Amino acid sequence: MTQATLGAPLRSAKILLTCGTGGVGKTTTAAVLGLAAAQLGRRVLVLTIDPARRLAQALGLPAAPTDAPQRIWSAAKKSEGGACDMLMLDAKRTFDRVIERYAPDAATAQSILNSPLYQQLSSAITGSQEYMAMEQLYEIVAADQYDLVILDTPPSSHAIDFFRAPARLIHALSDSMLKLFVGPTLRAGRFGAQLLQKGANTVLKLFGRVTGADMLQEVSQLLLSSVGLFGGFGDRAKAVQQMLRDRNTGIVLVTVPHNDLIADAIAFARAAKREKMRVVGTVINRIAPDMGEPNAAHAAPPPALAAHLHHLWAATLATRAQQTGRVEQLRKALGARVPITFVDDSAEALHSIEALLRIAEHFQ
Amino acid sequence: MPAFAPAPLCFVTGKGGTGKTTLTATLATYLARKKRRVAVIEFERADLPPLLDGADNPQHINLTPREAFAEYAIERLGSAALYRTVFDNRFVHYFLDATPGLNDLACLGKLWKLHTSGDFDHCLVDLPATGHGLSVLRVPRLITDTIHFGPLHEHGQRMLAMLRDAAQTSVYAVATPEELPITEAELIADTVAGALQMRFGGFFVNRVLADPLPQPHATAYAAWATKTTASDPYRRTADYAQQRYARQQELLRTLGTRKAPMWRIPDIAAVDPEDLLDATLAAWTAEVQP
Repeated sequence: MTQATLGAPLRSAKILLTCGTGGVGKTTTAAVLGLAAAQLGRRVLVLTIDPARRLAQALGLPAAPTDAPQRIWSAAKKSEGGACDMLMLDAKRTFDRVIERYAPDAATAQSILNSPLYQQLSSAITGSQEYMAMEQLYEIVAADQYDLVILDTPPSSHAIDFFRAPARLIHALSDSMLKLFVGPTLRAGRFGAQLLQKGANTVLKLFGRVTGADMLQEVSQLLLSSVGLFGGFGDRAKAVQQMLRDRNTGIVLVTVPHNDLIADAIAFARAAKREKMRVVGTVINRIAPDMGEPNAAHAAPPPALAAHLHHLWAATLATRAQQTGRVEQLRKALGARVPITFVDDSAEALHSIEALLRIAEHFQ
Repeated sequence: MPAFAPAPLCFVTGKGGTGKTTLTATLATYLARKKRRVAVIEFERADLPPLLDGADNPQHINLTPREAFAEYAIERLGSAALYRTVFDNRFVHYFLDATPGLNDLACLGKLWKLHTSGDFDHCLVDLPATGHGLSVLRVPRLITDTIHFGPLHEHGQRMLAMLRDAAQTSVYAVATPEELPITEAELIADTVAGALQMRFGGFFVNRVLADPLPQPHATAYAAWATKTTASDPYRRTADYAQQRYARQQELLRTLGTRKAPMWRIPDIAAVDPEDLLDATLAAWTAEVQP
């Protein structure tokens, strides 16, 4: 069952973000949205992080992330103009690039990138992927080569992390308390000397007793190198926020009809409202298909098999009814104006452009 | 199904959304009902759903970095008052949060104390999902490599010894029979046995479908299906169920070719969230005690 209702945003939005918990088919949905908009004649870029291997293969994407977008579909007639490109983000590489861009000079950038703690920082801080994805999105939108950019947001255990994560990262990197305390001394280049050589400060002595002096040295080195980045991060974050609140930006919420995931989606919809962002559509993936009513027009199976088949059929029907019931709760939370599009749980895996194009038709 | 004989200290991780937390709670409850003293430990997370109410259940412990660090610091300083005066303020908290690995190390330290306290036969740790989960296990090595002497170095060494003790500690991966979760489970197995030099305990695969057409139905169906059309609701249902099942089985075979044990937990028909643990426990118990 499919209700064709995503047409308006596909025709007019400039940025779409697919949001949802990990493992609900977000990347596939982003690709389908991209194909659907391209078929409507738009030039589209889909930005994604780590797509499933088989999906990547089906789309003809290279095995490793690259800096150049890959054309996955274009209109047969040039005059129709529509095309869909896909770009796979390398989160670690993007993080490195941000450091390079905002560092005051090449030596500082190298000193951060070489820190043994940096590696851990870039992978362990929740939100770094989300933040980096936004960075990339901002740059691509600024370059203005596409009519529509679709960002497949990074996988997270809760859809709502998408909103919290960048703020957390900014906080961790640019807390004003840190600037207040160590900023001036850092800039004067005296921080390391004061901290480690004089050692007169009781607080720091106590720190040493707890963590060891080496630790302080490594951390202060990383902080010392990072302090020049704070201004750049903060300004950029505000610009990104504005871009996300623009009326041509919309969220497509992606989920599957499981109980806890629907609850998650409802929480996400509320958070989006608080953040002044607009949900322009919801895609419910993997809903049990409607098999139709058994009828006398078809050959009757032998009795033992008939009973078993009827049991299977009834179970599928019951699952579907339960799933659509849950989706109704989501519809109430979102309001009637937000279209909900269903994608059947297809027995065939969506591992070809043709299969994705078939779904794209329903999206228009 | 392989026998389930868990290590005293078990770490559980896997892709988000695969039922990791419910599974950890299920295993803990299963062991507790066998009269083992069990702790189920949440790592840096405070939103565990109320899975663990009721009698003869495991003890539920939530590790938070701030409390774990406070405990460690108070021990080092020998004074809670000193800790409160000097460390318990926004600047120091900021510094600690900004130091990669320190929070994780503090939590591992607290875990070490629970594990060696003698109060529990099993500590089951519900780690964060794959990426962060593996980075937690990487932290002791990071610390000992970065800091070459002093209290934190020794602390890191102790954690490293705890993690690498194959007689005491195992890591388990949770997946569902879908492409990405299975790929992540394989990554966990490889990283644990490789770079982390720890013991990999095995795979748990949740939501495994039953064969929709067991014999004699399969043979009868194959004969009948040719006599009807592809649009027959019964045939559509059976084909859909068979293909879903086949897709899962193919993914399970990729895990099956590995040496590590694999436990499958059958798909549980939709239940209310409050009944999920009971239903999973019943399914798990039926699998390991046929």
